[in-house]
This record gives sequence, C-alpha cells and structure tokens, in this order.
Amino acid sequence: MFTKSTQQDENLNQYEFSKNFASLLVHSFKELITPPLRISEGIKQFHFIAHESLFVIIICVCFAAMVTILESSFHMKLVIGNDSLVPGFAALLILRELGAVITGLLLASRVGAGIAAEIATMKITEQIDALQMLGVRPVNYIVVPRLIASVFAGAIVTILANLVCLLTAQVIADIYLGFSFEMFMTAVKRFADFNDLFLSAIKGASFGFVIPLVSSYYGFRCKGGAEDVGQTTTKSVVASSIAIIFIDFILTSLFSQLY
Amino acid sequence: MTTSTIYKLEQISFSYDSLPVLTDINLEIKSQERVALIGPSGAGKTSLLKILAGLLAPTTGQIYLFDQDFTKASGPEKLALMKKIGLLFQKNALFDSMTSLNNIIFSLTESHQPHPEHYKTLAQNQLDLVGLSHAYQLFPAEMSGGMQKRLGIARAQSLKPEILLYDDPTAGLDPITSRKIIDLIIDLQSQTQSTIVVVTNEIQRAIQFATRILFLDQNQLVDLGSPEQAFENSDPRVYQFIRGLSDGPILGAQ
Repeated sequence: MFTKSTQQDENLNQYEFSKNFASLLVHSFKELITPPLRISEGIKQFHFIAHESLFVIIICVCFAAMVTILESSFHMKLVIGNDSLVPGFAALLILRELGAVITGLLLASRVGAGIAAEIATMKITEQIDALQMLGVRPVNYIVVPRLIASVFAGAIVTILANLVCLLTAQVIADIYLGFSFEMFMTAVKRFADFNDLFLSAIKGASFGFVIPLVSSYYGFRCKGGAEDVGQTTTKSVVASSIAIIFIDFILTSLFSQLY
Repeated sequence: MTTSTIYKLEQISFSYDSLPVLTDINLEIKSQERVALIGPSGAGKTSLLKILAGLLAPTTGQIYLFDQDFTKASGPEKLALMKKIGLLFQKNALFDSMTSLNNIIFSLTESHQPHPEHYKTLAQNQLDLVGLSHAYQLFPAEMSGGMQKRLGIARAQSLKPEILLYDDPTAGLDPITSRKIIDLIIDLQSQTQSTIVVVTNEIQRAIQFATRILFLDQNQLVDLGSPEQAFENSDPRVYQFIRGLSDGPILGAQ
C-alpha cells in the first residue's frame, strides 16, 4: 500500500504538467533537450504560424502605420505647430512597440486559439491518451514543435511586420504630409537604428515563446465537451494577450537601458 | 492453454475530485481470458479500464502486471509494460488529421517497431484483418461508426499486444454491426491468443464472447463467473441489470 502523493511521484502521470503553468514550463524545457526532436512537425507548425498568419499581420500593421502617421501629425501640429518630427517619432513607435505588439496579439488570437482548441479537442476525444498508449510523450509531440516554431516565427514575422509597417508609414507620409522617401529615411535613421529592429525581434520571439505555452496549458486542462473547448480557447487568447502586454512592459523596461 | 496470471489488483481504490469511484477492488485476470466488465453507467468501468491500461493511477492499492508492480514502475519500465497493452477507446481516439493507414503507420513508427520499410505493408495487413483494406485513404471523419471501431481495433492490434482492453466497442452501433465487431474481437483473439477485457453494457454481447463476467456497481467489483453463472446470480442488483429491468435497486443514470 502507498499513499497518493508517493504513487503520483513515482508513476508516469501524463497530465502532471497541466497542474500548473510552471510545471508545464519545466516539462517543456526538459522535452526541448530530450529526443526525438520532431523537425518535420516543427516545419509544419512554422508554416502554419508564420506563413499562414503573415497576410493578416501585414494588413493590420499597414493600417496601424497609416493611423500612426496621421494621428502623430495631427497632434504634433496641435502641440508644437509643425509635424517635422513625424517620421522619427513614427519609426520609434513602430520599431519599439507597434510592430512587435500587434504581431504578438494577432498571433495570440490566431495561432494561440488554434493550438488551444486543437489540444482541447485531442484531450476530450482521448487522442492524448492514445498517444500515451503508444509511448508518445504529449509535451514532446505537441508542445515542443509548436514552441520552437513559434519562437522563430514570432521573431521573423515581427521583423517583416516592422519593415512593411515602416514602408507603409513612408508612403502615407509622402502622400498626406509631403515627406519624400529620402527625407523620411533620413529622419528615421536619426531616431532609430538596427538595434531597435533586433530588440523588436527579441520581443517577437518572446511573444512567440509564451503563446504556445499558455495555449497548451489551457488546452491540456480542458475537461468537458464543445462548450469547454470554446471556453478554453477564449481563456487562452485572453491569457496570452495579457501575458504579451506584461512581457512587453518588462522587455521595454529592460531595453530602455540599452537605447 | 496456460493459466498464468496477467493482472493482479490488490485493494485498488480510485477517487476523482475526492469522489470515490472504486473502493478496495481485488481482481486476478489469467492469460487468454475473455473478461466482460459490466455495470450501470457511471459505475467506474472506464476508470478501471484506464487503470488497467496505466493511463490512470489508482489512489491506493497495487497492480501487478506480468508479476511486475505496475503502480510503482519507473517511467521507462511502465512504458515497456504499456507497450504490451492495446486499448480501444470509448470514442475510438483516432488521430483525425491522419488517414486510416497513417493512423496505424503512426503507431508503428512511434513505438519503434523493427523494419520501418515494412510499416506500410504491416499497416495494410492490419486493415485487411478488420475488413478495411478499401478504406486506407479515408480520414476517420469520413468513416461510419462501425468502420471507426474497426480502425480503432486495427490500431490497438497493430503492435501485437498481449493484452487488449476494449472500452465499449459496440457503443452506438446497430445490433448487426455490434455483433460483427464482437465476432471480429473473438476471431482476432483466437489468432493472437491475447488476454482481453471488454467494458460493455450490452449483456447479449458480453454473453457472446466472455469467459468471465465482472459486475461493477457502487464502487465495488463482483465476480459473476461464467455467463451462465451470471444469469443464475440472485443478487437483486445483478438480477435487475442483467435482465434490464426498470424496477429494482439500481436507479439508472441520474
């Protein structure tokens, strides 16, 4: 005879990692360095996260760039009487905040929701139990490929989003405010540099790290039927979004020492 | 016929969210037995089956599988023991993003069976065995309930396990398909000489295949013996359940 705690410590408990987020985090780090490394699944997930999300992200950051230019011009004219600082201000805002945060939030709603719903469905249809019966470790098979793919996708998509956002800002600044390409780029170079783009990519990678973890955590905790899958998805998107805003604050505080 | 003990359960109890599901279950299952586990809905049959499969850990008690302590086995030891068990899930648990052929190839790949170059042929043979050779390209969602059960059985059989656990293999099937599924289970068992435990609520199906019937109710397990002995059992709960009577101590699903 043995006690519940002893027995749970000594046995393979496939849902142990879903007890709390820290447990899943530890399991995921452990599985990251434990074979097999599922490269083909990782590539498939990268395609889903990066390639299939890119269009939506590009569209959104383009509009964000337009709003940034027009709003900053309006307010600068109101406060300092001219809008000569618009290109530099817009470049800083885009590179340090807008590009990464919009990308992160869109990935959370699109990719995070998908991961949470997929895992929740696998859980309630006993597919995760079936994996376990085949000797497949759920975190290794499900979480790790998504985690790796999402980190790389988060960084790469953030860089692309920043570049497209800047380009759109330049076009809008040219059309509405009369800043030529040369004028715009000169102003951008004065205010921002490559470091901003690099730190933005780090933010994107960090957001990419947290999205699959939060989504997997909620997915594995799903217990009920279709309604619970829906609630799981909602909870994961909300939690991922809050995590992104929080991480953005932490990273911005840290990076402000480097700028 | 060998009669070595495959499973030995000693005082197994299991609680779910502090709610007792199984209490002090003692059970022995011998090699090549065909055991039917019957009982009212919610009695804990699936929980007991998942405990036998190693997917759920009992709250207290010990399970010996092939004379090894299944409950105290380390991760790798437990995985090695679990590879000797095939499980057909209640909802089939087929991988819905894979074709029927790939469902079986996946199980062969992940369990690192020898000769990967033969996986496709092996998988096709498994589909042949369950009469699904024509459906190798179909996804689970494109299959009928009976076909999904057959595919689930093929996948459970694919690793040639010594023990096969079936969770309600005839649930939701018409009587003819249901009978065919049980015929298939008996046929495969006679070929592989495996030990099988089937959870079912269909008494006719239990009688059709079982060499021993177990009745689970109110957290307790009662060994009813052979199907004939089960019918002669005078316990009012067993009497009511086996005959499907609405009047009696069992209130049915609440």
